[in-house]
Amino acid sequence: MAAAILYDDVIAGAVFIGDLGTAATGTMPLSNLADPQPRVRTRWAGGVASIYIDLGAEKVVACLALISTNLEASADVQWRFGNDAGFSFNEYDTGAVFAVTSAAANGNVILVNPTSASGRYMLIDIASIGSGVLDIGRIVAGPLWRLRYAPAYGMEEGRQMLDRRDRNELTGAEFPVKAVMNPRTTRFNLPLITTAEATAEHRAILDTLGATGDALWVPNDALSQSELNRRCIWGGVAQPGSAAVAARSNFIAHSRGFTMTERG
Amino acid sequence: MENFGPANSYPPTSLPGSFAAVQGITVLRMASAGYATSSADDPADTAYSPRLYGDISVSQSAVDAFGIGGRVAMGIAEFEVANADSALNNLIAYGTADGRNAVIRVVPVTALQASNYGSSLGSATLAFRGVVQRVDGGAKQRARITITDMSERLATPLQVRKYAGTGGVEGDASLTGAPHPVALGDVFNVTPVFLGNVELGDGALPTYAVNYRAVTGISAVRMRGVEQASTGSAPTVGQYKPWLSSGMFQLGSSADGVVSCDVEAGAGDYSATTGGLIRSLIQDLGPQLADADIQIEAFELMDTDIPGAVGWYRGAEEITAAAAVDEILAGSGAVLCGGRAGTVRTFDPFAAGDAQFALASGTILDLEPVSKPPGISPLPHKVAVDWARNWTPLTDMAAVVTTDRRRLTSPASGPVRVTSPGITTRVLQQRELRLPGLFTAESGASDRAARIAAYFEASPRMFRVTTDRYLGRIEAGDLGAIAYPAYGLDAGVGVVVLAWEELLAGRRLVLTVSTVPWVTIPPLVTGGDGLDYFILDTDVVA
Repeated sequence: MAAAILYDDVIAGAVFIGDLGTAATGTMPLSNLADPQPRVRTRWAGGVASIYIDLGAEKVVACLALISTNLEASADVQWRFGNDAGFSFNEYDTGAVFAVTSAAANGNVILVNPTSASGRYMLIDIASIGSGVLDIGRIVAGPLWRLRYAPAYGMEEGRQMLDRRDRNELTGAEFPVKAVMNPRTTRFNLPLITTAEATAEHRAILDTLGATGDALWVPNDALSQSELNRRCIWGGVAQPGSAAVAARSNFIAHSRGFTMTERG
Repeated sequence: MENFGPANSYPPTSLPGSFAAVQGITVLRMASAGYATSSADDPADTAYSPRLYGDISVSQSAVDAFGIGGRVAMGIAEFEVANADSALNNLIAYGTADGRNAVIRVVPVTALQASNYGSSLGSATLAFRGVVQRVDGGAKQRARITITDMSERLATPLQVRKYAGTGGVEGDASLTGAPHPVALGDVFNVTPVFLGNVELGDGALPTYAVNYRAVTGISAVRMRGVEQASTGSAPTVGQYKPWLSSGMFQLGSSADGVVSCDVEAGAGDYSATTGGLIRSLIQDLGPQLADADIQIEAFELMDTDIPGAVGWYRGAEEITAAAAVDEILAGSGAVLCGGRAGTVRTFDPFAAGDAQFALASGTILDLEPVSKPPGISPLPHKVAVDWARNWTPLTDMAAVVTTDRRRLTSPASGPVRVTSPGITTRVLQQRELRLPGLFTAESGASDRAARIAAYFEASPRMFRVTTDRYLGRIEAGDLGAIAYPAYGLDAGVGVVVLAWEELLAGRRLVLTVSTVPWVTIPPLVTGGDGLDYFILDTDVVA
């Protein structure tokens, strides 16, 4: 088990993303998958999608995330990945798994390869008949930076409460207002980032994402599917204007604290 | 005819479809959070991109117009949208969205995971329908959009019919481009538009126009105040002949001074009341709104609230429909504005009626007193309303005129004054509120003065009330009842809404209300102390 971060979305650089036997709705096309706003979704009217992705070259991938979907818990998802464009021989195949996602997980489905694999082609089959239509906001995939050392004790997980609750000072009557969503948030410290990690993955995160890009935080890659969906957070890893630095906290390692809030 | 067909398969006058359909109109859809319509919605499967920053505040205020009448503009306070992708640059640079329709809807979130949040577009609450006033660029790659109500459409010339200046009934060259006159209701001593000597069937005679359409009567024509005699045949010296179907009359001789006349014009298909005249101004003239563009029941209520007959006249001078409406509203203290549903409506802030909403202490988030507008503070001890306006006060009157000399030289009859004994006794500063009434009869003016004086006599107070109830429903002019355990409101009071502001996502409605003495429902209960209580809150009644 390891905590991990996906920061290099290989699907953003894919040379082809298309349907294989299914068809996205013309008014909510496949190109919506590239919109960084997760709520700008792609729709398949039949509730079934078969998404074919050509990365253009062989790449290392360890995780696939369906972000902001309307999948029900019993929806079937299968992710195949490899160098065979016909998917007869795959480097990784999840088989048909239940999505086990929910509104509390923002409809996210996080599929993690316990190791990692190299390949060029992906096929993502989704059957979500119950909801009538199938909507997906983003599909991201890429290698995982599996942290060599775990986060420190004191990791915080919860939600940023955007709900309001005003009170009449005279009568005491309360007037709560529910926000559209209370995004999930987490705060953790990585006390031991090796020098190799600091000069490779951590540096790459800063270079690739800046404060505008999003990353996927996986607190534990051995979690069950439902817990992965609930606890992984897709959002920014740095705040505009603030310094995002790994501090040389001791002789052999760096450290850094992260605060991530889900992008809804 | 989008495609070419065989020769002669289409008549030569056919237009391509692109000529008949509006081209290049794009509907921009944006939301505070990404939304997608369902397959059963219209439009189906359509995404609303998340572009809005912060909340949208829809507001309307009749406070400044209170007591003196006028139009109320609704402003949606410049809400900001993301424009980092330059999607709105053309709207900013070329004003391509200005004046176009805008609709704001609110959907409840019942299923967060669903693309439509569990609420179909069809079930969305209409928060506001109006027109885009402008789109501006803003800092941080944002754009600001200002939406205003449908009364913006009144900012158009009242009269589209103009004189060609080619002679005859088109007037001489000096009238080129001048608008035809407009007479509504009964108007006294107006200045007709001289068209020149025109042949209408009785020889070339001095011809005057009093209206752009037929009138029901031209009861008097004066030359320097001297009344001319009406005749049905060719007029001679001292006579005039009305041409009612053309809205004109001819004199039997050239005028030796100011010519004026009394006209009974009616208001087309509408009553010659404040509400009817406004309908004629905005439906027959100016923006020529259809019935669907106005809130007809509001105008019908206006006939009940302000039933007195009024008259209005405009010669060959340009005026906008908005300015014309303002003149009529100022005469009675009524208010015209755009409604939430995108229709133009009107209301009388002094109207009596049933409470349309009730707010008790458990539903009030905040309540605080606010100052009365300067127009009614300190409270006037007298209300004066003019009547029988003289549209051409004479300064050069013939000596032979012995009757009605004062009426012909004064701007109006009256005014009718109603004095409040209570305010006269209590308030040191004695003020008079005077309305430039357009009532044709003294009774109309006196009824109006008495109504407004009764409002002042009841010592009105104003409050700002914040609640989360009645969202999307309250309009300016609505009557209600409020009870609150402070500011002497324990027993409940009747109020009229003068302004409102609604925060759509914040789910807050802020009302600015004035107490009024004539709200009839909820029913009154007389308590043991002899005071009247509204049944609003069981604690209060107990």
